[in-house]
Amino acid sequence: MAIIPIAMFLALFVGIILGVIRSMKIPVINQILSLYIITMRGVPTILLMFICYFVLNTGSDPRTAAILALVVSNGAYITEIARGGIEAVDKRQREAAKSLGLNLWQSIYYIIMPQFILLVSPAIVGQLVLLIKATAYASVIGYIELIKMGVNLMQATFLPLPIFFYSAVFYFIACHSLKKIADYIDSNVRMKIMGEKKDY
Amino acid sequence: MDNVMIEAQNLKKSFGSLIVLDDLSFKLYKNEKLVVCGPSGCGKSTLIRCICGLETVDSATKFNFLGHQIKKENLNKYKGKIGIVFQSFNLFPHLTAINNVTLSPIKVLKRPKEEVIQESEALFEMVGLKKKMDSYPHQLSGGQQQRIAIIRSLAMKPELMLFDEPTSSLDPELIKDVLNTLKDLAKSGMTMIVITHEMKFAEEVADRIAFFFEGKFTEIRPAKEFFKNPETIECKKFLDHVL
Repeated sequence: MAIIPIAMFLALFVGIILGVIRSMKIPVINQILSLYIITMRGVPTILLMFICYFVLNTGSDPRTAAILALVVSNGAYITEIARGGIEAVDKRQREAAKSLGLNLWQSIYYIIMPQFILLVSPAIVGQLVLLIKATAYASVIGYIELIKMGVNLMQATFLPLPIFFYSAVFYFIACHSLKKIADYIDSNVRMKIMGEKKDY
Repeated sequence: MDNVMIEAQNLKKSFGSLIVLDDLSFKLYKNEKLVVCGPSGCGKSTLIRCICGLETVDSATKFNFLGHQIKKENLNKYKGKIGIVFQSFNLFPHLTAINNVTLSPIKVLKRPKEEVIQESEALFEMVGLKKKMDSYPHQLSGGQQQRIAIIRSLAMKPELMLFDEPTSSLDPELIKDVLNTLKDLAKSGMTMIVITHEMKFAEEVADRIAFFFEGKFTEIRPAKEFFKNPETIECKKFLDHVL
């Protein structure tokens, strides 16, 4: 089950960096990234798992392939979320910061990033929840993740319902915890700072 | 030459085919209050944005602030020496009022926190907003936000303050407070360029008034003369509309 946190962090990392690059609108790179994102939107994750597995050709270790597939597909969505967030922070904030003498890194750290985080946290959390659920697909390339474990147990014990029920509970806890973090950021931080409430 | 703060000769700037600054030349003297008025359009804003380094001119024979050439690369060196107050206030929404004001002196000028906080409290006192120091921008009225934007720039101890239509997005009843703050600032000796349509304010505060039309200062004269004897037709028309 370690692939969940690993894939989550990598997808976030890749997504945010690419999102920043996308927001800079560099001519050729932007086109390439657009193509990447459109492709990911059209390809089912489960197919991607197969592709990564055979491309990487690691044979007995499907874990890397699974992580790669999850990062590549979810990274694309996070890229767009991040880009949207960056573009949503008012350009004039950076101007005000500049006029006060803050350099680029200071502006990003003190002014732009806090607002960015507040803006994107709901959407990013939503995407990460999808990622957690998508880890189930890793079973098709042989990775023993929760569902597969459940299936194995079921074949050994002939008790499908309780096993799958417990699996569902596990996924639910993982996803719901993530949502609780998002709610915390939202209700405490956003209300206090921006004076708005977001309705789910 | 010593009391010239800005020296500009033959400034030119276009956005595509639109000429915004058309061979503009002027001098700004220390402690002077220059009011810039004229029909709406981006030229006036562009000029002061060029002065503080947010935009660059396409070309200029001379464009100096205190003897040093104004270039975008130099902007960091100013470190707040040229303050600018925007029409849309541009406060940082995720910081309290006091943090908005103290952020830059602490992080850019690296001054000790307690000193900065003390001085900032005095600034809040000066604009009558001491009770609002811990409020967030969204909890404040436009006039309050603008006054805080002004003291945020003042906290950096600037030599020049630029104002881009500071009261244009305020409701009428809030304009007075902001203009009073500007008047106090003017009395204290600050060098100021103010773009505004508030001509009564201009009459009270300005040393010279400049009429900006089609990329140039077609008139730039001492305040009293400006109102009594406008020279150009466009200026006369403008004054008729505005007064």
